[in-house]
Order: sequence, then C-alpha cells, then structure tokens
Amino acid sequence: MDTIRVVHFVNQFFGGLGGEERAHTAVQVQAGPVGSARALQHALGERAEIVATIVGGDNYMSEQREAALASVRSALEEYRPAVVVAGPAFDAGRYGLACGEVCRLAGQMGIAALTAMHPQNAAADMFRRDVPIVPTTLNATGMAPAMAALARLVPKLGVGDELGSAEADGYLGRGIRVPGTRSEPAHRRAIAMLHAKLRGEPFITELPIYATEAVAPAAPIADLSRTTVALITTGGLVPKGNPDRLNAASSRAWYRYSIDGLAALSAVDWDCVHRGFYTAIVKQNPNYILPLHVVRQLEQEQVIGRVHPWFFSTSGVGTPDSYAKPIGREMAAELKQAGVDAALLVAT
Amino acid sequence: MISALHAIALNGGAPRVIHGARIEHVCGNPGLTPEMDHAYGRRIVQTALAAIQSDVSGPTLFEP
Repeated sequence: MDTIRVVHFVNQFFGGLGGEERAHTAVQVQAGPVGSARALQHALGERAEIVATIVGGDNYMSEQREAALASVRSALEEYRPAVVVAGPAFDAGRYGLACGEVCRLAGQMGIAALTAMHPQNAAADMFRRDVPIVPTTLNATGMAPAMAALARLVPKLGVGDELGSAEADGYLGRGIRVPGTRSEPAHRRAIAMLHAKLRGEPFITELPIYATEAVAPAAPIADLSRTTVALITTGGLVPKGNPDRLNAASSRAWYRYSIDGLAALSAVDWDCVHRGFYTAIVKQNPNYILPLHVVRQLEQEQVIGRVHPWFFSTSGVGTPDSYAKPIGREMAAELKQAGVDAALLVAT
Repeated sequence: MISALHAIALNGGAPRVIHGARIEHVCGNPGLTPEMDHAYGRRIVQTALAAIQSDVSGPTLFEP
C-alpha cells in the first residue's frame, strides 16, 4: 500500500516563523514537515508522510481570506494529499478560524481534512458540522496527545473510510445522527445515567447541548442626541502600570477607568496588556481600541447626548463562556444602573 | 460591537457587529495620514451609531 500523503497547515507561530510580529505573514509552502508538523510526523510514524507544510500568518489568514485560501488551494493542487491536517489551534481564535477554513476548502476539493482545537474555541462551533475537530487542551501543553489523536484518524481518512461516531473516534460531535443499534434499549440507558448522576458518578450523555446562547437584540435607539453612550473594550486597555493587574489572558475580571474630561486617550497615560495580538500599535495610540477621540467629538457636536464617564476593560483572549458571562452580566447591570442607553464594545 | 474578526462575533450571536479595520487597530489605520485615519475612525463609530439606531432581528453585519 502506498504511504498516505498528508499536507499540514500551521500558523506562523507553530510554523516557527515568529509570534505576533509575524502574524501578517502570507501563505508559505514548504516541502516536508516544518515546525509542529514534525511532531505530527512523529506521531504518524510510518503510517503516513507529511509531503508539505503550509504556514499562514494568523492575521493574514483572516484579513486576506480570499488570497490566503487561493494560495492554500494551489498548494493542495500541487501536492495532491489524501488528507489535510490543520492545527491544533488550542484556544487561539484566529488560528482556529484559519484551520476551519483550510479544512473546509480541502473538503470542497474532495480531500479528507481534520483539525484540533479546544471545544470552546469560537471556531469549533463554526466548523464542527463540516470538519472533524479533535478536542484539545486550552494551550500547547496538550500538544502531544492532540497530535496522537490526529494521527490516529489520518490512516482511516487516508484510505477513504468514513469516521466512526464522534464518541468512538474521539472528535467533537458534528450533529449528525447515524441510525444504529446499541446494546441496551434507551430506557435502560436513561435510568443508568440517572442512577450515575444521583450517585455523583461520571456518565456520558447521548445528547450534549452545545448551542450558543441566543442574544435578543436590544431595541433601536430613537434619539441619539439624548443618549448616554458607554465605551467598553476587550483589548486589555489599562492605565500605565496596570494598577489592578488585569490579566493578559483568560481574565475573569474587568475594571472601570475614568475618562471624564479626557478628549482622547494618550499613549503616555494608557497601556495595553492583551496577550492575543500585536499590541505595539495600540500602545502608541490606545484610541484604536477605545475610540474616545472620535466619540468625544461626536458628543461636542451633539450627535450623541453624552459619553459615560467610565469605560470598562478586560482582556478578551482565552476567555471561555463561563468567564465571559459573569463579566457581561456585571457590566450590563452597572450600565443599566448608571442610566446608560447604549454601549460601543470594541473587540480585538 | 466593533471587531475585525466579525465572523466570530456574528457566530457568537452579537446582534449588531461593525466591521473594524484590523485586529491591531480596530478603529482606524495608522498607515493613513492622521486626518484620513481620524476620518476612518469616525466613519467606523458613526456606523456603530447607525447600527444602534437600526432594528435587527439577529446577528447583523454593518460595513463602515
């Protein structure tokens, strides 16, 4: 049997090019395994060969989406792999998005594809129906098991077999129901689960609920000139020195800072501690993640009634829903109490 | 919500999403002249203000 040809997609960091400062790197294709693709090749052993590694910068992949995917397409046409593997992206949002896009493209080209990321990566929900996604830890400490899990599925996909159920083959459910029989009828399984739950023992549900929460849109503002507008950012904006020690990632906390009387944010007084993007530009001009310079002008022109004297800040990166929800609830409650009518939230 | 990663925002269920410039400079573009940069930031914020005056039934993208 011929060796299974694999093309691996990684971002600039896992491709060994560099961090945020290289996030704009255009798609590069290199023969053989490069960067973390070497770990995948190790996990694959003799079962498959990584014939090429595609490296794409996080920002490039999302901001130049069409050009990026065109480059990926031509690389796949050139190397004709049986399987495309992307990631693992762990909890990295941009990387997860790129992995999903690359796998979806491969699928459209008739090439089997799979990726890996944390189940709460925003991209997991976007792509799980189209692409098998192996669940990983939040960060790269789980690289080895993630690669092993990916490598297990490659031979199956490489010979054109369908994957087994999500449960059996260890990927996130795609929401596909396959008719079949289980060893026990439903009522016995349900009672067994209930018993396990009542005894505080672990059990595996047959109906996991993954739906993102639906947010009812707020009613539109009728008269902007009488409206109090608040500013919020998830860009990790803090006063110089970060007095509250806002975490650079995975923050459970948020803070309020006064912008009373300020016409704009100055680089002298403000800093950016966010871990998830290249922050040098915002450090020079914090208004890019909290546009006070413009909002204040619109206040003076009486386009809006007034700017709320406090802005809210947190670091929106590596933030699971379970952290984000209380933050959102607390912010909303405070704005409501302060009589704020609308909020502009800038997310990096 | 103003974001350069608008696809994630929309998928997450944000009702009013404004397409920001880029991840590292959501509300402007340091590559422009200061005047044009300011005008661009103003256009993004004005789009956001138009969005909060618009009736939407679900996640909706607004282009500055």
